[in-house]
Amino acid sequence: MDTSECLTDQQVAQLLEGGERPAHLDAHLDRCEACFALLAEAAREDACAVEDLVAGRYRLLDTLGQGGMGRVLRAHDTVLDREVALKILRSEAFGAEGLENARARLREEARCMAGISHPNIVHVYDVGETDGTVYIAMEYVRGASVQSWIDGDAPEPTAVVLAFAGAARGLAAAHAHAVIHRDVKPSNMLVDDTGSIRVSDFGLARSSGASDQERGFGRSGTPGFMAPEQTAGDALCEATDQYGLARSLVAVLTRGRSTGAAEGLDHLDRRVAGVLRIALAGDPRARHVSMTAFAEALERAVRPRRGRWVAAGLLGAGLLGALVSAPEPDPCATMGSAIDEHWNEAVARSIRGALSQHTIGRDPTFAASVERTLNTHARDWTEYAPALCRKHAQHPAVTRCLHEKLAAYAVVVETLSAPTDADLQAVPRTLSTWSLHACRDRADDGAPPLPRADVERLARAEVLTDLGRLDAATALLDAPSSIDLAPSVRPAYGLRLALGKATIAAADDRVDDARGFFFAALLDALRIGSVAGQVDARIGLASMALRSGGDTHSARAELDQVTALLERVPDEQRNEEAALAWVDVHELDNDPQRALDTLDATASNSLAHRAARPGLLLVLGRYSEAVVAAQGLTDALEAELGPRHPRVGDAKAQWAAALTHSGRFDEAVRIAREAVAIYDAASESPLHGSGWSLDVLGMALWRRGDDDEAKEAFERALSILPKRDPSYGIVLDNLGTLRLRAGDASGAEQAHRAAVETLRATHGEDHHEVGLAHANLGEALYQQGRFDEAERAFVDGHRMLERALGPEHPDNASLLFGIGKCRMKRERFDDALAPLHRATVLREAVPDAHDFLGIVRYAEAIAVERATGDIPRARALVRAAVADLEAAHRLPDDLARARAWLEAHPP
Amino acid sequence: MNTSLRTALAHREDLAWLDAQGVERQLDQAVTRWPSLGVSHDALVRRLVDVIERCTPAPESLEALRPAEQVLVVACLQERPGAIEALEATAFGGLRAVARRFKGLMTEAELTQRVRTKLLVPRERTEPQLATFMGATSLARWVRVVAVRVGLDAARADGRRGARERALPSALPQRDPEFYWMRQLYTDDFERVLGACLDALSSRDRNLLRAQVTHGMTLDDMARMWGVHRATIARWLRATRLELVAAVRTGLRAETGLSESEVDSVIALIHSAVSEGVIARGLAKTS
Ligand SMILES: [Zn+2]
Repeated sequence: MDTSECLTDQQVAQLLEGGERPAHLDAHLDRCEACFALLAEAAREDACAVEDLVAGRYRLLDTLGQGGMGRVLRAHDTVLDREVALKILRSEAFGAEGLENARARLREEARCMAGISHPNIVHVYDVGETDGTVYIAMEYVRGASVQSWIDGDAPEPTAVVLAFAGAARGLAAAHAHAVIHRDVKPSNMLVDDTGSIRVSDFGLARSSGASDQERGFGRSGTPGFMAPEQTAGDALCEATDQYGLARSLVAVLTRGRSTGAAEGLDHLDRRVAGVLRIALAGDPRARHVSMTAFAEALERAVRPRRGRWVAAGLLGAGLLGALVSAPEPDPCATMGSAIDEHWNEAVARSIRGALSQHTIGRDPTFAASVERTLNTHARDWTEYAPALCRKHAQHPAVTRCLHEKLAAYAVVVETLSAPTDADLQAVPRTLSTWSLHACRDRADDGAPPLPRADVERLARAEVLTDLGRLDAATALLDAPSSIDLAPSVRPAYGLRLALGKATIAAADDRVDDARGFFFAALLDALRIGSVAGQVDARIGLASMALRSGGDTHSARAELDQVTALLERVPDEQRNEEAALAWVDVHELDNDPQRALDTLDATASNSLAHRAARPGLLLVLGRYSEAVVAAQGLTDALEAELGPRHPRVGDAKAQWAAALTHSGRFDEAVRIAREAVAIYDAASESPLHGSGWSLDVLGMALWRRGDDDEAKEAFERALSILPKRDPSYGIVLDNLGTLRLRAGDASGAEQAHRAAVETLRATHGEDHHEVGLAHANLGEALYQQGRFDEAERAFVDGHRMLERALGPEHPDNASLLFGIGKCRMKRERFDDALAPLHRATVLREAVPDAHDFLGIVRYAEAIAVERATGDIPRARALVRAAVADLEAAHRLPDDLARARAWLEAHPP
Repeated sequence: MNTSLRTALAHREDLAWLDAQGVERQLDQAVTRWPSLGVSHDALVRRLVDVIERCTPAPESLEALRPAEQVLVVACLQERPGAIEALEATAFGGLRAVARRFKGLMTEAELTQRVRTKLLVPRERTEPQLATFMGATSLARWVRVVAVRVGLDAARADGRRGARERALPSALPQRDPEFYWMRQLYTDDFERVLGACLDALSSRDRNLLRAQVTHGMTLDDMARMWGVHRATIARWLRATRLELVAAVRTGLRAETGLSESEVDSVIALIHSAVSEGVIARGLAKTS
């Protein structure tokens, strides 16, 4: 081949079949992008649907199995550099359930499963779907399934029973997350190289659909492991899995000779048979009370009476109801009890005492929730930390992570022993982010190990920052490192230190400092190749950009990078942080719709996520949805934090605002009063929330017609809020409106002009709040008979609102009505028709907007009458207006006027 | 009586395999693979003569010409009923995967139609492309390459830079803010040095980087492209990257007078995954 000649299709095909390479091929490819692209693209020859779907991330190694549901492949996750098992599910496998439902359910269950980290469960990493093919990436377990114990060599019976007890504990962990396996059978249980059973394939089977399909795929020859309730199509419960597990154990112990449920038990050890007989009860309620109880019963049945197993009663008051093994000569074994020092009955008692000193802490819901969470975390620690430690003994990052978690736990407990109000507000969030699950994948970070003392110090500083104790956090970070760090470790330490300092600076409102630290962190993260570090630093940089003058451009650039990084290394928690940052970007860019879409696209149900929703729905004019969202948020926060927590106040204020917008004024006033009361009771009340709740109350009162009380609420809000608070201008605006209602049009004009100025400063030129302030200013001018100026204000406001919220937003209606009525005053009836009609249409979409609709329809009728003389049409409009005004109850004068018109214009 | 291939090619003494027994039976078997297409033994012989006369170097066996697939080619060129359906059933299986790569540009049906047209419709006195199928590879593999070219042509016509880049947005970041601090510090130095170093690489090394960074190819894809084992590709790439890093390090120190540790932090960027965007940009500039 000549170097200058391009490749033919045949040559390309031959090259890919392993044909000889011409000498100058590389030289030609280097110069000819067309040939390069053709050869490169065609080299993806074997790209089947599966490879396409996982392109760029998984490299397929071999096929592990093929079944009715699809294929299982062994693959290499090139991003996290680990082997995974990829289960490729054929869409036909979902049968009647349909791909849509199956995908949603699988995603949901995978999300649940991803939250469960247990040594007896095959870890689910990821679930995805492309071109009708659903795939699940899960931990690759080298070894055969329990079926091989039936077919061939099983360990001795005691070992089998103990292995099944382990499997039961794995299933118990899933049950604790409300995931039922539904299809426990030997082929779904893998045996790893330590002989432990790892339960796999959660949620793949349904009582209908897939399992029918599986039977259809010729599985009828294998013994049925389905519980009676499953065969009967009744509701499944945790005990269903117990049945399947017990049947599997019987099958192994009898080498598959038993075919019926109870058959074969007679040949087994009496104690084991007794335990299994209960688990195999026909009525699910007659089985062991829980999977954990089943596990314990199995263990008791085969352990020698003297027992090496001790109950954890010594940990105090039965708080940690788990079993821990006696000390072994293994550094991980003592890890489980390391938590006892930080959490025991004495500590719990002292925390209860300390909480009772505070308004928030006295709340029984709050105290119970905190204690429950500390218990759960302690139990998780006792159960999983030794296993994680042992399993990843060769990965220092996992041990480091465990040390961090323990230190973080200790700081929270110490803080709760002598908390401030601010601590109590921060603790629930800090506790909610504590999870050992994060440690499981830590081995992949690649950062060199730090000395334990430094790890703990950094972790403590992080929690202190989270709790708002910035001075203490800074002091910890500024302390010199415990030993002289090796050069290879410095970037890893530097990364953590820089992130810590950045977070402190950000919490302290030192935005420029924070930016500098995040930059330093990014550099170190890049240097050691830590993706997590890069993501943290970039999200930090994005937030700082947003905070320094709303620089959404820089923030977008950073977050684009974060998105790309998280695509390669999925991380649920960081994903949500990034999503919330995107929400901020869109909000600042006056794109609430996009912000809401972003929010809705994250699968998270966390409080931070839920807290952002009602406000966006409100801005978008989706008021009834906002009511529901805010009410749900309030309930969730109350359950988590108790009814007197300021964040509950915040949620209630949003709820009340949504109610007001929906025209439900009585409810709005009640909820807003509750919000105000929460802030009044809190000893260190946040100014913003306090002022804002008063504003919402004022608004609700005003809309209900209680002007004096409303004015009082607004004035109190103005006395509390700092002038640069985003609510200040809004309250000012509302006060102006009240003045107008009291007949003080020039006083109102003054307040509205001040409001426009303040809002421009706090919200930016084209913000919808500025637009709405223009609406009110227009009204004040209109009342003074300055119709030209008023029209200009309405037009300006409408332009801003349209730009900020889009032309379909119902708030446009007020401004359009303003424009229309100014034009009518100037007798430009023709020009008034369009805006009035548009106002009606926009407002018709809002339920309970009768008062407004009545007035606008009446105005439109008059415009129709004057502009076109079309009396029948005008009449129809007035009739509709009368109906609206009758429904509104609140506007007797307008109603009378409309009725008079009807009488004057008989049909 | 059928014409034998030997008789038809009596002048080709170089083709010893034509004298072997069973050649004619193989031809009959090829014809009976598609009995419903009605391709005659003689028509296949004429086709094979045509193919053999065009082949350089001369084919080494009858199998190398894929007689069964040539039957299909004859049927299609003779526009026999059912021929196109048979062709598609035999050789169009890979089109779905190709269509997926050009998703957004055309549907699978559109791609199939364009491939069909390209293969079967003669253009300005040139024969249909199907007639040029010499049997050097399987018909399916060859059709797949034809389809890839169709896709790339469409992508080019569409003014886009090819399906790959859309499929792998993360490999080609539009903005890379981690570089703005660097740009502030070193302005164009870095990119100039990188560009010079990329230019200094061998064609193959540059191609390797381009395949991995710009086209996002896996080691396995690249192994197919270069016809070597993936371990070899991995070794080549490692060496190339080390060479590039060393060259950039030297170049940067010479150009900017940066200290070693400062250069190190720049180098760290090249090692890290995100820096692929920069290499991609550098490669775009050199080509
Ligand atoms: Zn070329």
